[in-house]
Amino acid sequence: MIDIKKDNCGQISAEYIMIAGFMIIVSCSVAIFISSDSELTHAMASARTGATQGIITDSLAIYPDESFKNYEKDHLRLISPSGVKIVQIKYKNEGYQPLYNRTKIQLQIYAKAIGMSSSDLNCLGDRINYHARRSICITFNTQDLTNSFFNPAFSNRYFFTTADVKWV
Amino acid sequence: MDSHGSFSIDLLFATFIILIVLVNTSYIISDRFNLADESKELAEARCLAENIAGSINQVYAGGNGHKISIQLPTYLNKNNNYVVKVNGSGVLVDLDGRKGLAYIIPEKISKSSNVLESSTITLSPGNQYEIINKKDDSGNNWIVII
Repeated sequence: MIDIKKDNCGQISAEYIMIAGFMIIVSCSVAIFISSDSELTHAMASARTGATQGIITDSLAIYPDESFKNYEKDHLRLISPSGVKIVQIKYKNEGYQPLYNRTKIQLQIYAKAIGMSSSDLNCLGDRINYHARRSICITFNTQDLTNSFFNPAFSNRYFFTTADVKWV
Repeated sequence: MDSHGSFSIDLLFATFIILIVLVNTSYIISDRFNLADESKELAEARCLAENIAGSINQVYAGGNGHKISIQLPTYLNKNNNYVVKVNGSGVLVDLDGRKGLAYIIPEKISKSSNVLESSTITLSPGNQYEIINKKDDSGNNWIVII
């Protein structure tokens, strides 16, 4: 007579271990493969956050002390709130640059503002670009690698510059 | 009957994927939270400047003897490190070194109702102030903030 015991302990089959191991290997390989794209995605998300911060500062017309004094003298229109809107943020991969040992990405921000002179728009655009670069540096903790204007902004594999904002 | 349950490889794989997605999105989410917080602070500062400027204009338009009381908030989005300065140029909010100006109509602002002279008045968080329209001997309307 066969003695059948009740199995209360559970078990892992060899097949299960093999599939789980295979999954981990595949995941690690994929992670290495996509980490570069993931970094770029993070950087672009940070740039968008920064650009939004820039337009909020522009729209509410609350500026750092130095800019405020400058605008009081030369750009009085900017002292009052204005309607600024981000339309689109694009990037262009300009290839590997041995100088920084990283791939260069140029950001191009498209924005919209009504009733502003071109010199005022330049000031607004510079602030949007500044905040976009600053946000990238803060996300990747690379403030120490760049200058006070965060130009260029560095991530681990890329460095970012900004073209003048295009007003549409 | 199997009363102990089991982990399928599908569940493990799905959990792994969800964890990766959560870690990735958490960066973006925390960025956006910070942005919303900072924006709220700036928006409250702008609203405060415009509200004070609006009250001053209203008192000026109301004529001699018109009076409005204003109460400054203790905090602008958890930040009480702000001051408001009022003079003939307008209402200036200074929030941690960032400045915003709201224009006003009257140019004659005084901090005393007895001696009417142009001055810059500093308003502090949490305090209450009265904005009064007072006419001087020459017939000019002054805004007095006490």
